[in-house]
Formats: sequence, structure tokens, C-alpha cells
Amino acid sequence: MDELGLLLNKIVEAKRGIDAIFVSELKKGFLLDSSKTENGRHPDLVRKLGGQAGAGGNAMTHMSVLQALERRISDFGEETGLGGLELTILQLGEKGDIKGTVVAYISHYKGVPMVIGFVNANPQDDSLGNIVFYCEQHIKDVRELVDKKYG
Amino acid sequence: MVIAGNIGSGGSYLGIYKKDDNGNPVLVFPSDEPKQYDSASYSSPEDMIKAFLQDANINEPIYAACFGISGQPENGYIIGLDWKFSQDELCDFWVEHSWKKKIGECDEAKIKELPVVRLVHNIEAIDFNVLLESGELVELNDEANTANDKDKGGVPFNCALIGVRGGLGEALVYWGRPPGTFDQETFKTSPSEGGYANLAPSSEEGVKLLNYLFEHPEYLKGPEVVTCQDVLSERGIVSMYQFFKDKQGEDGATAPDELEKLISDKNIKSAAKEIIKMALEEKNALCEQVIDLFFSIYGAEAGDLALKYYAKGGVYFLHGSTTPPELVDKLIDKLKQGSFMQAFTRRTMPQVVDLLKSIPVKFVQDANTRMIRGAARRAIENEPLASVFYRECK
Repeated sequence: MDELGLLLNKIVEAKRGIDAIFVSELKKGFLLDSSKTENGRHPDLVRKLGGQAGAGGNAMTHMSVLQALERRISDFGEETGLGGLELTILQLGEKGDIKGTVVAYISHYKGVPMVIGFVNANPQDDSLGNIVFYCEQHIKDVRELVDKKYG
Repeated sequence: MVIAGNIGSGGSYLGIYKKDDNGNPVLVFPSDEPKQYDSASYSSPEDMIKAFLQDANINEPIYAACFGISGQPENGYIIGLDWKFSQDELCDFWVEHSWKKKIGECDEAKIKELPVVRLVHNIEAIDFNVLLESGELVELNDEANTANDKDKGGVPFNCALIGVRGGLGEALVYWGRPPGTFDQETFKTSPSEGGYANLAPSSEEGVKLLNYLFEHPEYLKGPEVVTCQDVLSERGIVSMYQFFKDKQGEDGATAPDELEKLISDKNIKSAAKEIIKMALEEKNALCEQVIDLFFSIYGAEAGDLALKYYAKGGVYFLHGSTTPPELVDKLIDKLKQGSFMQAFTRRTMPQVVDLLKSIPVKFVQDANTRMIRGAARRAIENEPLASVFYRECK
């Protein structure tokens, strides 16, 4: 496992607000990296992200909608002078005892649009504010390694 | 770096490209123009590409490739060649020969899904969005309405591409994005197999030609059907030459010796070139008749295409390499003033005539170069991810 994979596992194993992390490209929905540890709060979530072959299942393909969102919101930011899109918080509805939150950071590496997604599945334990706080704590380190690997 | 190619039975062109600061492809090898290969002398595309890689002798991995082919990419078929291949097989080949890795040690699913080697119809390879920005387009239709190129909703009108080489290439160009993607809307090209549509001539001379071809199945690909590209192709030009020669008998215009030799040697590409050259130079009446009928059928087909695709945005005439560069201006004059534009608008209903008169018809100077550069652009798009997959191989 490379240093990016080790870092993603370490963040999830800390069991503080983040249950899975993925790095995916947005054009085809390829899952490039993800946390793979079984020692987090939701190991099943990590398996779902990878799909059957581990290359990114349907779940990742759907994430490519973020590419269009980033483009449009960045255009909005450009026209209003408010700046480009930094992160998107997706709050999903309840399903069983899970209510998902995805905090998605979108960047371009060598012209390829990519998303770094932090997934939370324990809203009863973590407030939205705390989830974003945890993500903000880690995004700089994750970005640095993503940039080193793909930039 | 990437490899791009334009592959057909009459010859293939391959080149190694890299991306410049603006994201445009720049030819790296050969330095002047893509290298030409005689496709028929290789048993498969892999063999030809191997020969090219050997000629290029580049010691670093070339991550991705895209080839525009004169045939059906999905069925691994090139018109006029016995090759049988598939995009997946070419991806395996690429990993082994360019990346120098074993496919089993790489993420095969991602490599083929990207794919690292992409096959497209050669007419589809042309980047229409780049073509539109080109200053080299020449308007053939003096009455065209160029002021309005969008509908009331602001959506650009459809366009059509048409070009003759070894066969007839036709494609629809529409505004949109590929289904299931969130790509930005641009012009997209949807290729067709329109060249295989049945020929339906609308002039007396055209009907005579059709009957002549039924009587001479040796000029057809199949004996029972005359297709558009039995006429609108390099071999079609030669068939038309035989038609006029037979029709005139011994009292007709003289058949030039050098042309006769090319035909008897079955050098169809050169014979077609020679017929066009002699006609444009007004050196031979027989060749001039051939070209008049050829452009009449070509113009009618271009008009039909505009009607079928409702291509109010324009019909783009893709010029290949059949005309010597010094005669291109004469060809443009011939298209504008001669049978091509007349046949384009010759219809029964006045409203339809008006519609066709309003449609721009643009002459595209060097379609072959555009095909290979467009293929290079597609390969460059895949290069960053292909390089990631390359590094992920064990």
C-alpha cells in the first residue's frame, strides 16, 4: 500500500467523524484510491465504494455529476467574484440506521477532474459542523499526497 | 506522449504527438508529417504499429493511442483489408509493447474501460469544435445564410460531414453531450455507414450510369446492389471513366495513355487522382465529363444529407488528397460554379430549394490532417489517466 492509502486508512481508523474516504476521477467515475481498512466504524461502506471489482462501482459513476456542478458553480463564482467551488456537502436521507453525509473536494490534476470524498455514516454521533471540521483537518495532507501521486 | 493514426486500406498514417501548453497536439515523430504505411502489406494493425514503434525507436512508454479507421471500430473491420481486430485486443497489445508490462499485472478493467487504445471512425476523429475555429474553411454556397446558426432556444443547428476517399464517409454533427455523461455540451460527431446506402440517381445521365454498373458488376463490391460509394469513391471515379469511354466508343475523346496504364495496373487511387487532375487542367474532355457527373452525384448526395440530418448549420465537404495542392483553387471554383452546387439545391419543392440554398457548404482543405490531429487530441485526453494506470501496474 502506498503512502496515500496508508493515510486514508489512518484517518478512517481514528473513528472520528470519517467512515470512508475515496479519490475518484470524474470523467469516467474510476475509483483511483480509497480507504480499505476493516478497522473503521463501517467497513461495509468501504467495500460498497469499490464495487465488485474494486475499480469503482455504479456509486462512483454517479459521482461524475459533481463535474458539472463544479463547472457551473465555479462559473457562478467567477461572475460574482466569489471564487471557485472548494467543497460540496451532500446530505443524504436516512436508510436503516444510516444517514449519509459526503464532503466532496474537487480538484484538477493534469487536467483530470478528481474528487476527494469524505463519507460519514454516523450522524447520531457527529454533527455536521464536526464532520466538516474533521475533513478540513485532513484535506491538506490528503491533497498533498494526491498531488504527489497524480499531479 | 501518445500515438495517433488514420488507418485505411489505401494507406495509413501514424504519428507520435505530445501536448503543447494550450493542450493542442504537436507532432514529435516524424518531425514533419505523419509516417505513411502501406496497410495491405501488414497482416494486422498490431504488426503495422510494431513497425512504427520500431521506426520511432522511442525509449519511454507511450501511454495512450487513438486510431481513426475507415471501417467499423466496434466490429474490428477496415474496408478493403482482411484484418480482424478489437479495441480490447489492441489495449492488451499496447500494455505489452508500449508499456512493456503484462496485462495480468495491471488493472485490465480500467485499461479497457478508459480505453488506453481507442478506435473511432476516421470521420468521427475530426474535432469539429476545432474545425469551426479554423480560418481555412471556404464557403461554396454564395447564397448561404450564415447570420443565423442557432435555433430559437439558442441550440446550434445540426451540421453534416461528407467526404470521398477510398469510400464515402458521412456523419451527423449535433450539439450535446454523450448520453450518461456530465461533459460540457459541445459539437459531437455521430458517424454513419451512409456510403453503403443504395444509389438513387436523380439525373438522366446518373440513371444511365446506374444501368451501366448493373451490366458491369466487375465495378461493384457486390453484383446485385449499387451503393453510393460504388460511385462516390476513388474506384467510382474510375468506373465512371469506363462508362463514358464505353459510351462514346472509338469516335469519342482520346483516352490518355498514362491513365490507361494506371487503370490496367489496377492503381485505382492514382488513376482517380489523374482523372481529377486532367479534368481540372481541362486537358481531356472525357475526364471533364467524368468529373461533371461525379460532382453532380456528389452534390445531390450532400443535399440529401443536409435534408436527412436537417443540417441547417452547414454541410462540410471534406477534401482528401485526390487533388494536387496547386489545383485546389480550381477545384473550389468547380464546386462553386459547376454541377456540385447545382445538384445540391436541385429539388422539386421550392421551399426545399430555398432551405438548401440557405445552408452553408464549407470546403475543408486538409481533412486527412484533421483526422489524425483529432485522433491525437482524443489520445491526449486519455493520457493522464493512462499514465496513472501504467504506474499502478505491478
